[in-house]
Amino acid sequence: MLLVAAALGIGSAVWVAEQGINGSVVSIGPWQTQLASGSERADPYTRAAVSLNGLFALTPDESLYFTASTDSDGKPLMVDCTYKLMGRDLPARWWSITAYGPDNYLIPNSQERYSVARSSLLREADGSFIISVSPDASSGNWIPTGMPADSKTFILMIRLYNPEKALIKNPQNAELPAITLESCS
Amino acid sequence: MRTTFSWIFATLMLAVIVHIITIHTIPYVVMHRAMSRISENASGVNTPFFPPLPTATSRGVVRPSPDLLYVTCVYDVGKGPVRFTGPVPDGYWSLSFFADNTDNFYAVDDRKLSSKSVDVLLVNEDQEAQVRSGETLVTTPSDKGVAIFRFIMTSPATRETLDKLRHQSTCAPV
Repeated sequence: MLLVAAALGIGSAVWVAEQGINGSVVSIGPWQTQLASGSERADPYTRAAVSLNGLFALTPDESLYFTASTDSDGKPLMVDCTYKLMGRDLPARWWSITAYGPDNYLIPNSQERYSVARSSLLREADGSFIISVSPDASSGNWIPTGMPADSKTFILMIRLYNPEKALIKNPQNAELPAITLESCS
Repeated sequence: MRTTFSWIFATLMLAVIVHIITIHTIPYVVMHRAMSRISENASGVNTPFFPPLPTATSRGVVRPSPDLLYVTCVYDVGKGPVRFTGPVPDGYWSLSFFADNTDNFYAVDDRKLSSKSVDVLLVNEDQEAQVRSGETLVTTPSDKGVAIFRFIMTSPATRETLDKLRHQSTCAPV
């Protein structure tokens, strides 16, 4: 009985923590953020989830983090596909978009390029931006997804440092880039 | 039949208890592992560690930012306060503290500071009264935890300057 109870109890706890299931998640299209990240007000489930998926995350008044594991149609992000991220400058002093493998580490690629940031972004004439997320090199803004041998999926993460007050107050109103599938090899 | 039902009920009750204990324990286990790794790299506690810019081979912390230069330090105020100092660059910079349960209980960034340097004294509740006035005190809820200095590289050209500045960051017992 003890073994069964231990297996059920520990297994379900780790599973729930890895999934990040809790009541403080805000979703905007494919993007999600845990508002209680790093906070002393976090419930035990949020704290466990953040410790596994975002250890040392700052609280929202310092930095907001949004992650996406699917495109805007809800399909998982795959390393052998090309996506276009289209959006406008995000309401923060500095922001970046980074790709990670399913192990939550940076994806190996020959360019050693892992992110695009507000300060390095190329913009369209109207101020908007288009970012290619693809294993294939692209002119302009490009986040390589490489071709990691042991994984097929990846995630994208937006960091917003010193987010604007309106965003901290109502993160659900953030206008985040759409993630559109272009093609798969 | 009744015995089987009792067995299932007791097992489920026990599983719920184990589940709750595990959920509360996970952050401490994760933090303990991270503190061990950081202090090992720094060759001790209350000693700063200057990790290289994160790449695909970095395994120190999950989801590292490739645009940030970090300074990490495992603090232990068990034997006395620990002082954190360093220069503050132009652009985003922050010093944050994480308790042994992963909570980010304090953070200060360059905009909140009135000067281009930081000087913070980390104490526990017992030490608060013993410290002279005029210090910027931060009280940690746990004797051990992690401090992180973050320096944002707005372009590759700023890397060298920021790297020199971050190496002036200190974390040392008083």
